Amino acid sequence: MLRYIVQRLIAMAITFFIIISISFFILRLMPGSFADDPTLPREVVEQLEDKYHLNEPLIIQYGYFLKDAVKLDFGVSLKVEPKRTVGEILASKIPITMQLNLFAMLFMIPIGIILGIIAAIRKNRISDHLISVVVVLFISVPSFVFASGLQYIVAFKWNLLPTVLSKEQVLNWARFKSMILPILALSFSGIATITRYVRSELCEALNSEYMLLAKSKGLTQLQATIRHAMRNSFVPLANIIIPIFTSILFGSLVIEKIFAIPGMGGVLINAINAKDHTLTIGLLCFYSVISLMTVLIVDLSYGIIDPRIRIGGRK
Amino acid sequence: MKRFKKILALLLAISMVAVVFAGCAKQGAKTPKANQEEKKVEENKEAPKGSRVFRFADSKVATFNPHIYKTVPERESMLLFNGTLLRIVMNEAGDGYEIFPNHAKAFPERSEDGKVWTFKIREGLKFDDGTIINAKTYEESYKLLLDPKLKNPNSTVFYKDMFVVNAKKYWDGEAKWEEVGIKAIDDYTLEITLESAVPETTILDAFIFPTTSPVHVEMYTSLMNEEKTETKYGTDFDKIPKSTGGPYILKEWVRDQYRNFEKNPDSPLASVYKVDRVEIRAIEDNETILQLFEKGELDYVKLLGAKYDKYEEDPRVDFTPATTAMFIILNTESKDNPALQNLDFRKALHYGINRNVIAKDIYRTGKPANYYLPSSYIADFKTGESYRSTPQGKEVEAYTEVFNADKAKEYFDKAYKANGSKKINFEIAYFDTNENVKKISEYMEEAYENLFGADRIDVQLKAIPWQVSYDNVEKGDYQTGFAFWSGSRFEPWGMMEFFISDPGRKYNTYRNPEFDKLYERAKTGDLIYDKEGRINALRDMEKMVMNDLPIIPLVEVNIPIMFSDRVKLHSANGKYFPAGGLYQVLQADIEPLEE
Repeated sequence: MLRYIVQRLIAMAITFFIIISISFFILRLMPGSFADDPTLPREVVEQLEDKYHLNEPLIIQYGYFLKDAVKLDFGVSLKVEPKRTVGEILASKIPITMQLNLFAMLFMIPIGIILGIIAAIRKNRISDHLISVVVVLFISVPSFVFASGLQYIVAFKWNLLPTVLSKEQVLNWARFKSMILPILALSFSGIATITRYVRSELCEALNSEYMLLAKSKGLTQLQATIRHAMRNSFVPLANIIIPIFTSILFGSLVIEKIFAIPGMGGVLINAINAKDHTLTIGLLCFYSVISLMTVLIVDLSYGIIDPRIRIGGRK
Repeated sequence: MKRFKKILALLLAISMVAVVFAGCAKQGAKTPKANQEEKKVEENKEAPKGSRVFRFADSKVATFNPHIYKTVPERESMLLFNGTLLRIVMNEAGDGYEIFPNHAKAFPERSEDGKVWTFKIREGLKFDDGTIINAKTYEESYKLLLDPKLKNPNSTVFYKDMFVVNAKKYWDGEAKWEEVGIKAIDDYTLEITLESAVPETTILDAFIFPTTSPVHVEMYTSLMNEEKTETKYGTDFDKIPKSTGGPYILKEWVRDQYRNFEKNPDSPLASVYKVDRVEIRAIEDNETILQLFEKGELDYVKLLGAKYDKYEEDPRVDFTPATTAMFIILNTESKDNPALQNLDFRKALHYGINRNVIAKDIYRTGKPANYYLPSSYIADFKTGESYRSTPQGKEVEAYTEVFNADKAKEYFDKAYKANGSKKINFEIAYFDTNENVKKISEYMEEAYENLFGADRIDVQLKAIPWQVSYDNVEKGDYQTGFAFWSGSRFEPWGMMEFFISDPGRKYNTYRNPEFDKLYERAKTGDLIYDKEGRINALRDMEKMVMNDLPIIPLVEVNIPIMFSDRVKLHSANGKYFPAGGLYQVLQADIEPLEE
């Protein structure tokens, strides 16, 4: 296992280097620059670009980039939040995004599991069909439609909850109240995914032979379901929940805009549109590390959660 | 292994809970002083009941560094807490405006040759920490603005529209500061020396905006990196002075969320501005803003797009004309479409668009424009008279028509014949992210093909990013390109720079020595102090452009706005006064918030 982890880490490092290098060249080859303001004299634009070496040969720019990147210095944002380092920008935006999305996860996981269990146990009955309709609705309708609808009905028409995120900077009741609607909007598609998955796995588990054995040994249906079927069907949930956990760091562009949440959503898109190379590369590095770590953790989780699975093929 | 799994699960649970509350904790360790400041901040969050507070939503701001800011929201916020030498305010009667000498005691004295402008600075001006602001502060601030290592983009204020002696050379690193024409003669006298004379509006323009505000020099330099090529001044609440002698004090700035300001009793504008507190929320979704306005949580809203339909009859709706001219640039030297070289074809295109359709159906509140300069541009800054309402402005409006199908067909027939009676392939390039521009292009495609015959003209649409579009136009690699061009309301002559033969960056193919000469006379020559002469020059320049049609003007975009009932504008007829800016509101009578 240890040897496998080391091999994977080395492969990750190589993959990361390739991703970042390709991203660097693609970004630098895109037309336009951060200083491109039609009203600025061309000479001024060129001097601004010279300051950040943007007019030098690509390979020399790459050299500067690597020299700073090994020190984890991605420079300062050129346009999106000028003069702030990538680290400062991430540090100011990630907490609110994580807070919001973790609450969403804490809501969606138990709800999704409960609905999945009900649907599986009451398979082909009315409750199962109702849950399926809800699941289809949650999957089909984009989250921003829910966000707009919830905001309009619950916040504006009924005046039950705040329209936008509260100004409070600490997590008190006022702040939490203002997060309820975006949390709900973020949760629905996750609830649908988890519900479908749990229902499918639990249905399969309920029809397995060990359930028949358990019941023949004297356990009730409920006892057998809880003690054996549910535990077995939850094991593969890790490969859904762990990616959900890491995807929350990307934020949600539209929902954050609707509820005026100063999170990660849209930062990367804004950086690319603004030709803010330093910020874009810094963000891509961050997201690449997170994504690669996610893949590794998911792979390792199989071996940890289910000892029957041996990573590396060793019996 | 089982124990390991339990420990792993426990660690995961603890870390999740910790992260959930990570967003709650204030940044940094809490010292007693920080706790006190935090309490003060909490108190500043919401306006106390009974205060005259103006609340609105705007885009987030990227920086409060006056030397690098770019956007209007940044400018408007900075003008609240930054002092400027001059300021525009509404006059007593509320039917026009006047220049208010803010940090300056009066409008600067001009030397006889118009090259030397002398400001007398008021005494008693201070930053929020008590540091004195005087002429030396201004000189040091401008030195930092022009610093050759910092390369601040807003330094163009001193070498683009007006040319301060050696300012550009200093910025290039080719002159010493002593050679630059910015000097503090004594503690309260600031002298600006120019390479050539400029009209008063150019000076006004330069010194009413935050770019030329004083900066806290000690803070600015202390926040620089080792190489002195960057500064973190203005990047965070704790890296900016809360007031540089401005009419308000920045009380709170939570990035991308909100910024709050309270009146500065020591400001020269304290007796002019009536609003006690300004609260700005960073919200970019128009529907959300409208909902907050309807709930009474905001006092001002723009009714963009379909939102206007619901409030069309609402008596609270007013309009603010944009300073942005909207037009299509035509490549009169196009090799891809030689028809564009023919003036008859360009006239056909000009007369063949029904601008009423674009103004009403696409923009809803637009005004058809068969001229270049929008109505918000002012011919006389002392009276506030709009150029478009002058006899000269009206003359240009009557010079051509907003739509004339018969004339369009007549000109097209001539152009078609000159093209060898071959089908004309006409390409319209539009900005891929602008929905209105796309609709206009689609409308034009249908209109031209219906009017001139689909067998005689083929209109092709091409979606490209706006940066690429401007790039293509600059290189001459285009048939058409949309353009949104704006300038200072008080300096419409500056807008005509777009058409001179060599403006540095050329975004059209118009070259006319007669136009160049007239422009030079109006901007830096014998007409600069001749009010009527300058307005006549503006008329003549507009007519020259309309004679040759290197552009097709489209519409003026009037933005419908609404103020809440609490806001009683300082205005002779209670209406929003164009060119007064949002600062007209600061002079408004605002009812206190309800108890």
